[in-house]
Amino acid sequence: MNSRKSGPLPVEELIARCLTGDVRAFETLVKMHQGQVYGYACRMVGPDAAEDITQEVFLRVYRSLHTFRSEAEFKTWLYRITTNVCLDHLRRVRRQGGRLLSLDSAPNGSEESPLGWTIADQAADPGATDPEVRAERRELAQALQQALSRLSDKHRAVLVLHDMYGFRYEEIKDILHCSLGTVKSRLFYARRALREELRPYLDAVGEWPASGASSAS
Amino acid sequence: MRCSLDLLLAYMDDQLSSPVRDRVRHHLARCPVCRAELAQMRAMRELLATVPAPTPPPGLVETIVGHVRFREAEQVRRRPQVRFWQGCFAGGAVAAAALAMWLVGSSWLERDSGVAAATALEAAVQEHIVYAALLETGAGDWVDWAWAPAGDRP
Ligand SMILES: [Zn+2]
Repeated sequence: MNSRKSGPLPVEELIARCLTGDVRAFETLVKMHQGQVYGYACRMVGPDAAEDITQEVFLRVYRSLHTFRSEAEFKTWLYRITTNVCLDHLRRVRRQGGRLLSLDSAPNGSEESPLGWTIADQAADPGATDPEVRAERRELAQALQQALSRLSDKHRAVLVLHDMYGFRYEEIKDILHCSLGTVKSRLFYARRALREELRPYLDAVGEWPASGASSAS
Repeated sequence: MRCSLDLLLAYMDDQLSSPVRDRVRHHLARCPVCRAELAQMRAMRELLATVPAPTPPPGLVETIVGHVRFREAEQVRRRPQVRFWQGCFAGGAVAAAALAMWLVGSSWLERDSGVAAATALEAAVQEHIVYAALLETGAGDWVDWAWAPAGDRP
């Protein structure tokens, strides 16, 4: 870990400091991970509840920081807590008969889509300056969120963790506390269901800008 | 080999052993349906991987850290509070000290009145804590308030 010497403190070090009551260290930890937690929560519960979920997750993290050991574990652990808080929330809302993952939270014509696909994000994308392209992508992003919301919570979790956050099967197994076979079968069904939802859009995806690997970096 | 979405997805994720991978590749070369299927699945994976992540609202970190600071401050504030049973225990200690003072005091008081005065003061402070604790825990009904310092009576 010599390469980190001059960079930001490794997670282990930050946690050790948090455990001595160093709130600044905790602040750094939150800054480093808030994007991941908030983003994952948006995909799991929709943008309305994602902020509260993120707060709840980090308070739980703070309360139980003493329970884990290494940086590799931390990420899995953080996503496990986030998943649990999201699933608890969804269960509670459903019990109360509420609507989930409401797409109405971004009113029609609003510049911000439920996926957080803001104008700023689009402007940062090469080739997204064309208003027509922008509108198309917003529509696609909304279709995607809507399609995600129609999956069962557990199927959605596996799909989001694997295809959006790049976790491997083994890691997802640990995050969700299930078997490897369950991860594989849920991913299979989730992808098949999502493909059916998105079929009308997928034919046009050839025009989508390539992933970060081939465009930006 | 028959058309299999399961195998196609495993192929896409690079999860196959090399003999099976070769069979899938061979099948793809002659099956336009599976080629189209794979292209769609790849497009979908690409879409999921590249859709921009939502940006957390400004001030979220400050809110979270604020909660934690508040909790920490709460804990510090609560620490010195005397709970009911601790209060009872302290009460017993005060009584024992008073008894000891009464027994020994008569002979010691003349010789070392400074020490006795300090002990008496400490006992008074302890007693104050005990009465305050009894009040806070709602045990006030069982207490003979005649003995409590004036300021501690309900
Ligand atoms: Zn085929």
